[in-house]
Amino acid sequence: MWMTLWKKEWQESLPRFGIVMGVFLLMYAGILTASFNTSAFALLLGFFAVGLHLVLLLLLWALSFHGEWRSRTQWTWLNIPAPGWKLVTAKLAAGFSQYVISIALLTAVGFLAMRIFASGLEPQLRESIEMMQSVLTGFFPLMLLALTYGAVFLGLGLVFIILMARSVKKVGWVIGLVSALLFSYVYSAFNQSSLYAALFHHGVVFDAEQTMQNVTSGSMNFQLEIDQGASIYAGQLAVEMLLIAGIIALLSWMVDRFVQPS
Amino acid sequence: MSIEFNDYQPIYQQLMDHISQRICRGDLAPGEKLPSVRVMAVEAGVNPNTVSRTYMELEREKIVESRRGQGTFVTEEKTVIEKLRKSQAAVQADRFKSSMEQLGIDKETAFQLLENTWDRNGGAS
Amino acid sequence: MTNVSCSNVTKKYGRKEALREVDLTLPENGIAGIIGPNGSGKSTFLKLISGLIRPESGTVTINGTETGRKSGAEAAYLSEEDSLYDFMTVGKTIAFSSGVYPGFDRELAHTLVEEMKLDENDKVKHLSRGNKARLKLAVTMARKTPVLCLDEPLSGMDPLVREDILRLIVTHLDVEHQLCLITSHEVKELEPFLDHVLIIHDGRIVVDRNVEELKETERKSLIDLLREVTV
Repeated sequence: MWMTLWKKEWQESLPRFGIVMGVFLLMYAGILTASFNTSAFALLLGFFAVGLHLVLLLLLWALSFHGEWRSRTQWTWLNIPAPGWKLVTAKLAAGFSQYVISIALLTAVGFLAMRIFASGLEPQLRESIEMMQSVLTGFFPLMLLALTYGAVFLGLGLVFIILMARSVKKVGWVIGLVSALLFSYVYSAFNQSSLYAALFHHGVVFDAEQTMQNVTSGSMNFQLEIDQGASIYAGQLAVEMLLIAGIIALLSWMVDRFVQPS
Repeated sequence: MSIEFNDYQPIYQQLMDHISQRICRGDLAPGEKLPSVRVMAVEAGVNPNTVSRTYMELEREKIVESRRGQGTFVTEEKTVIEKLRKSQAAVQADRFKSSMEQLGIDKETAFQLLENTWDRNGGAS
Repeated sequence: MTNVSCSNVTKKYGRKEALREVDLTLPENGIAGIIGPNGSGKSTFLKLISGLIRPESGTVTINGTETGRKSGAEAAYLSEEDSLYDFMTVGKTIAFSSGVYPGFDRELAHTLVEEMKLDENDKVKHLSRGNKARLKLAVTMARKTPVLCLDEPLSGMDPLVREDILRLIVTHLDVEHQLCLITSHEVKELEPFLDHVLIIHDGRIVVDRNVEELKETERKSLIDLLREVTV
């Protein structure tokens, strides 16, 4: 059942994923060309590509959920006698696998572009760019995690708003938007509180300070201040994963109990 | 979907008449198997439940008999068919009579008309 | 045998009442027509039974269980709209259906599609309106659910398609075990196929009767009856 649903979501989303990939490939061609010419334009495009990945999941998921109504297939979709979590996770998983593919490509292009860029520089400059490269490599897991975390929460937030709009006539999306904003405000306050730190900052998985020391070892002209919050803890990972699972459970429950096709 | 149904009579009765007429005409021979309920439903353009009921009513009047697992067959009893023919004819005669009455035609004239029609168009005497 | 009951069901859209205090038990099997003027609540009634929407008050039950989103296992809903996935082919539609509907009769679906001369390699997107309707119905019939809710399957179809659709229902519905609910404007065409009729007017069920019994006692057509009760 789930595999059939996943396959359907994958096939349904393939054309738009193709368009997204097309846009990214053009961008990557631009980045690589700019890198060959050691133009700073490469960096700008790179930031832009990373930024787009922050909203990629949001785009893919929103189109997938909204698409059922747009193509008037909501009757068919909701008449499938599968529990809501299967319907919801099939959509989320299809979008997420596309996100993973896109991120993998972005990573490959990013590192390749850096190498090309560095090779075009004069020897003195090359050392500092290589340093930057190793900082990026060292912090890659952190950045990937942060990017994905942001993308997932933005995406789930929008899916929540879409489902609210399909549950309550007319004002549903407003209620959805307001409650999503309210929740993220409260949760981020909690996230930065000392209580959160006391509860969940246990079991270091990624030590930002240590990583910094490792990658910059010996080099005096490359010292960065590391924010205390930049480390990642197992406790924190666990609670955030739990939160994501909770939101997915909420979405599934909404599909089963609140959403009405019209 | 061939049968035209009138609005005021239950469909199973109309279908009974239709089948009875076919039996009288010899269109459905004695001992012949009737189409299955579904096939008849599709042919007549009616609900299969209606066909089941029709077959049941026909069986009650001994016009057809159902053999377990084989289907429904037209009776081989000549007397039953003969009786059916008579009763069908009686129905038509009643209709003829009331039509003539509505036109204000008396018995004498009506008989005359019938005789004329018979002579002109030929037919069994 | 399936027991479908509504007890005191009211359904509102905003402030407008689509159905008011509907209280009835549907026949256990056979074909039931749900007729009534536009906007009288016919479609709402079917959606409630298939659990796609929920009443504001009262309960709808199938065999004692309240209907809900997962009622699709007992009640298949056929939408009036083109509710097939455009990007699939005819064959993929059948494969998908057999993957998501428990008890889906794949063999039957293939047979029906072939009977109606659809090419399994054709994309749903490229099918004519009539062929979409044929495929939609074939898939719904093959789900073999105890209850079928067909929302306006004949509306807007040309005579050949209508004939095909009615033939498909008559040939493949198990009238002794399945209950098929059909909403329609084509009252005259539908009439000979009905065991039972419900007339909905202004959100209320005003007629709930066996068709043969109705004809035997009232000696009039459904259209006449409809005209009488909806003035």
